[in-house]
Amino acid sequence: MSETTMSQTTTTDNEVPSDASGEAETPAVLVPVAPSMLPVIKGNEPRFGTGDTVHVRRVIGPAYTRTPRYVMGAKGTISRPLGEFLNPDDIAYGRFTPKKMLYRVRFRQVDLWPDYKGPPNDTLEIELFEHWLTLNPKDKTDDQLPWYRRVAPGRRKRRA
Amino acid sequence: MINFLGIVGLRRVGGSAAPEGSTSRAIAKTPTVAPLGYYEALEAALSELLIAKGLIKAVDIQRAVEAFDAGSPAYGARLIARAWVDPGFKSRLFENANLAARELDCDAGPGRLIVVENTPHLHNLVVSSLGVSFARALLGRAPAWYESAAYRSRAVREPRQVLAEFGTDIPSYVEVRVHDAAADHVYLVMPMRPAGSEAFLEEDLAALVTRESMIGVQVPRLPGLLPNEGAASQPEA
Repeated sequence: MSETTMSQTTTTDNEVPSDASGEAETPAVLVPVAPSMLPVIKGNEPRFGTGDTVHVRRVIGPAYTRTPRYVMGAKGTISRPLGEFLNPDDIAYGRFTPKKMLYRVRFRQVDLWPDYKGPPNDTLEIELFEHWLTLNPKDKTDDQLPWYRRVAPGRRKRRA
Repeated sequence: MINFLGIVGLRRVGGSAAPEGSTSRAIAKTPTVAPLGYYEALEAALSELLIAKGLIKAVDIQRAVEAFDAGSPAYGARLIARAWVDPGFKSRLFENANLAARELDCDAGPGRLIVVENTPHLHNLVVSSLGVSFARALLGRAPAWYESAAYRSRAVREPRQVLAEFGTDIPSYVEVRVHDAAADHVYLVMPMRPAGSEAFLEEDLAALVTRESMIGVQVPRLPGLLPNEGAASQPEA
């Protein structure tokens, strides 16, 4: 966890000006800007490649997250990396932290639901952010900390 | 903070939520019996302030609402029909769907579009368990059942039972793949071209593609076929 935190915080300074540059000629129209129109900032390389087996971290707390409870702790495979996106778990609290790599992760339904009634080759795909995924199934660093001790990725650099 | 949230919560319960798309400014001007809800009053105050300050015009709001409602399943059907007849367009659609949609003068809307293809051995189903992601620009407003808690929770857990309730029986040798969509991407299912439609023109093919078939809960059928006949002919295709 500490490795990813450090690598993500290093990109903070590179990304801030590129976000701010678009504000000068913002048109006064209410039509929302499509994320597909925004420039793609190539900061980090994806840590996981297509076909990697990953495990979803179990972090159960009072905070908002896009990662649903039913995939936490489950084993899946990377379907493909999708690129970098703003982390909605941080935006929910007004914190515009650096963008994070997003992946499509494929799970077998029988891995998600022990009582799944259907053929074992049925699958489910969902978008998950990189900091939610780990290669090591015993990697429980976030789990073992109480929620108020956990440091959100990208927050440590703020002091410097 | 807790106090503040509590007050907001109480007010929200007291007021009626604004129906989507209605300009509550108009409601505010007419003498109504029911008082404005919290968010209606907030929206009216904010838009009036923005107009008074000259930041936007009332036309802009109207235009944004129209842009919001501009989506229709006809756009998605046009994309699918073109992909059926044009393999080059199909490969571009899988590469970058937002760009490919612009070729046909369709705006795929905010959010990246991902098109997933049904094959004889794979059936795709789109659900948003958070209830936020729907290809509104290509499919119109989300149907009520798509936003219902029952569909959002059951489609991820028991997709085959949900599909059966929509009259779609998927054989057990076909993999059912559920796509749980978050807000950054929207998903569109490209169904299999129905058997017997080989002689169809592109416009006729587009008429076969329904909104339900692009969400994945149904499969397109030739007109005049009973649901059972259509389902029986699907595996051979």
